Amino acid sequence: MLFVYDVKRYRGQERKFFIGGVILGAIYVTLALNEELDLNFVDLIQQVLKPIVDPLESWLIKYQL
Amino acid sequence: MKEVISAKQFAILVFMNTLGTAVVFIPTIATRYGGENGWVTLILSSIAGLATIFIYIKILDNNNQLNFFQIIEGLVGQLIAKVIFVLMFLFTYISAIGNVWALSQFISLQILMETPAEIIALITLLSSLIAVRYGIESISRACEIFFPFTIVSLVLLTLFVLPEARMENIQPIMQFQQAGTFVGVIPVLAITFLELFYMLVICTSVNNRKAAKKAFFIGGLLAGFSMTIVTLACIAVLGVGGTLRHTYPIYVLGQNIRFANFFERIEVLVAFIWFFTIFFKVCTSIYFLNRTGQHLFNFKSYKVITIPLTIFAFASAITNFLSVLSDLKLINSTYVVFALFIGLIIPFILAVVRVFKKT
Repeated sequence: MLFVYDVKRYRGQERKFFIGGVILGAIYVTLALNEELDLNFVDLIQQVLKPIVDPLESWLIKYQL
Repeated sequence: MKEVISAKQFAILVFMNTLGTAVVFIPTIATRYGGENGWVTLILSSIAGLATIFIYIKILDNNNQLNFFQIIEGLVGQLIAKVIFVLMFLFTYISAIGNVWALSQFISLQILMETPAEIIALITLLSSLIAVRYGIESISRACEIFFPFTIVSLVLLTLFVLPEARMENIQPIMQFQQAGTFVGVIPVLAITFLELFYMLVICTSVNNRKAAKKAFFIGGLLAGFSMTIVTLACIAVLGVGGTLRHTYPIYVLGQNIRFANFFERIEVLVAFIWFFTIFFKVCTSIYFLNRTGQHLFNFKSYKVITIPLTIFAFASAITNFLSVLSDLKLINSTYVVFALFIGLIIPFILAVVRVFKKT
């Protein structure tokens, strides 16, 4: 109901973004629930920050119990 | 129509946002570094956190007309500002889905054992979707209503576990793990005060900018004090070993409540603290994500993004995190670096630019 209300409410670029976003989101959820898609933002950030994270992590571990 | 909230509501929102998630994980993290001095780590973190809030409020001016995004664009120009907003969006997105998944796992593991965590994540996100669509005014008012419940739960928890507290568990003070006590401030700060930069978006909605800055401090101070008390209670009752061994030490603390042989097993009281705080934290972070998206895509209303974003957040929440243990590892590694960059370095540079622009 909320979806129909929003589709009717928005115009032009906003409507295109809304419908596109919902369709992409629905595909993402379906693939995620069926474990067919490996789109992991956390892993992505971990890979990008790896060169900085590794030295910091090994330094932090020295102070842990 | 511009949404307006009061300074008091803003202070409560800051309190809820600082305490959400942190109140459950902080005792374990602080004790892992500081041992029996874990509560000292929390005191130091609160001081450092208030210094961080000082940096945040330095970014804002006293002009009530401009919003957060316009202020940043005025400071560093449109292009750099857009890069900053994208980075803040990414960080807040990961923080939001992490919070949703942490809450879902907690309920699924401790309270509703047969219910899949995915369903709890869906219910949480749908509730926040409704709240965000109502706007920050409604979120703040709801937060104001639930604030006494959170405080009462915290006070009851602390009072009822007092008979179980053993002072020898927190002794000797600052004799061992001295360096760890100080180093522990970094991860503690990362999951508490460094996430608060998104409150600046709401800060510009407060009817009095000067009062909002003061409220930011008051909310942070109250949250720091509460976290210190909870950590102290965890170490005093469960000991260092017990606090480290349990994933949710505050929940175990609730299980220890035994009063006059009839008032016991009230650990759900503890869960209330977390439900309320994390719900408002998720709402606030999703509100920030929507407002940032609205600004980046130049939409008239942020509500265009609410439904697609919630669907994406749900899919990410159920797939991006493996287990509670991997979450704790993430908090002690990647999340620290990301939080330091987004929550400290960028705001610090922005605050310096603001000071130079003034002079």
